[in-house]
Amino acid sequence: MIKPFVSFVLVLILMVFVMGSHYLLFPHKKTTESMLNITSLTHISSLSLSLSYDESSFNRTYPEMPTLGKMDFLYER
Amino acid sequence: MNANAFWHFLTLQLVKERSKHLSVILISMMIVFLLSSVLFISSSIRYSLEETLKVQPDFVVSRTLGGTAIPTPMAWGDELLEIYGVSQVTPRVYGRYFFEPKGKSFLLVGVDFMEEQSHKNLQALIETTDIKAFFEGKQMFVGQGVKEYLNAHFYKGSYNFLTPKGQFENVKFFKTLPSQTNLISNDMIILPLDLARKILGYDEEEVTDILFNVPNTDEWDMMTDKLSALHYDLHVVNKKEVQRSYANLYNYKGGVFLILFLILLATFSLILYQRYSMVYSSERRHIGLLRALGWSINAVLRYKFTETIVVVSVSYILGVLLAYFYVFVLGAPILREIFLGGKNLHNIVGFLPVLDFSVLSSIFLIYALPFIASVLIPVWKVSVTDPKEAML
Repeated sequence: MIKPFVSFVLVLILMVFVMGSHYLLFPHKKTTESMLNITSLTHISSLSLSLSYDESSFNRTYPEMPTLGKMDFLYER
Repeated sequence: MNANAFWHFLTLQLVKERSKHLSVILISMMIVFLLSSVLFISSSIRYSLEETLKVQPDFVVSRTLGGTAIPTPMAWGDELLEIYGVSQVTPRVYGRYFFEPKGKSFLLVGVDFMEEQSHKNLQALIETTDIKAFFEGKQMFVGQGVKEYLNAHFYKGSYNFLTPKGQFENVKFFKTLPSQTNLISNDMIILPLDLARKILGYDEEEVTDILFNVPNTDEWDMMTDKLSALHYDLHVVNKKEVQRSYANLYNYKGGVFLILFLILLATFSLILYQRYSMVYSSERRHIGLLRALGWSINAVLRYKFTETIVVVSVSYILGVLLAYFYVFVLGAPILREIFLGGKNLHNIVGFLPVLDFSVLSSIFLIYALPFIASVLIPVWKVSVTDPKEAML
């Protein structure tokens, strides 16, 4: 094997080693425990999704009617 | 040719033709990077959710009217306790509070801090919490996203909540929730139970829903039927259903990307196949030259196979490394919004590193096999022809 190729392989191995070290040294236990504590405290485990205000559940024109996006009332007997 | 000479020739060729290999490596690396990033995010979120669901109670009971959730009477909790096999009945008060109408919102959660278990969890979560100081006046714990958003809107130490009765409730910030919990608590505000009731507009005898455990899992289906018969407007959800819906959601999102990846891979393989099977390509001449120098078909195939394996492995390792760095070190900017959204509060999430080796090996196989095939088939076709003809 020629020298430049060997050096390239060594750099690759070093990068894999850095990734492995990050994985092994990451405080998995502490992070998981924090998540478990907040779930036990609030009894909420759903994700904190960053969603916009959902208008689909309201029909602003006719509040007593289902929303226009919902088609189920059409198929109702 | 002995092994040393073979590797010397191979690496010499790889380095000499590096510009040709570099373009292939770059494109392949990007494909692997994109797919690995999506799968890393998906598996990390799924792992975190599975872990947190373990401490969640088994059942959630709420009251509905015309399919919409309405406040649940506290008295239902006592009725649940009377059922044989039910334990740890806990009422829950929570709801969304809109900072501006139909705009940014926070998740308000009421916690009974008088309970011993809540005390313990709070101490474990924020070690320096002085619970006595917390009860001096109206105070709250806020998530990182809430804190950042309110600070940007000049609410430095407290916030004025507007109750449904039109009164203002001034609540001070006590502590910020740890950043490790951002996946769950980014838009969360934790308040004492009574204060949360007041702000969300619940009466004293009302809660959002009621949670409870049924330790014997064999009784779960029977318990659902029993509860449904208790009240006509009662809605029951058990933990298995929640688990299933989360799994479906993230399998679906990961699946969409897998399909895109397969389309991309098919196109890329086609380009590679085309390149290696071009009639007057330098590849063809190169193979013809090797054959004319006395290389057997087997040796040519072995040389091309090893060369492709090196290219595939390098691009795969670089793609996975880049994806790991992007997801678990940088927090996957842009891509995380596909999974967590980005329209409400700015989400600053640190994903828990989870390496699923079965997924990684599947990516390698799905990626490597078409790649190798698209190179070796045209190479084999050229190497079985007469060297003179191949070099034309």
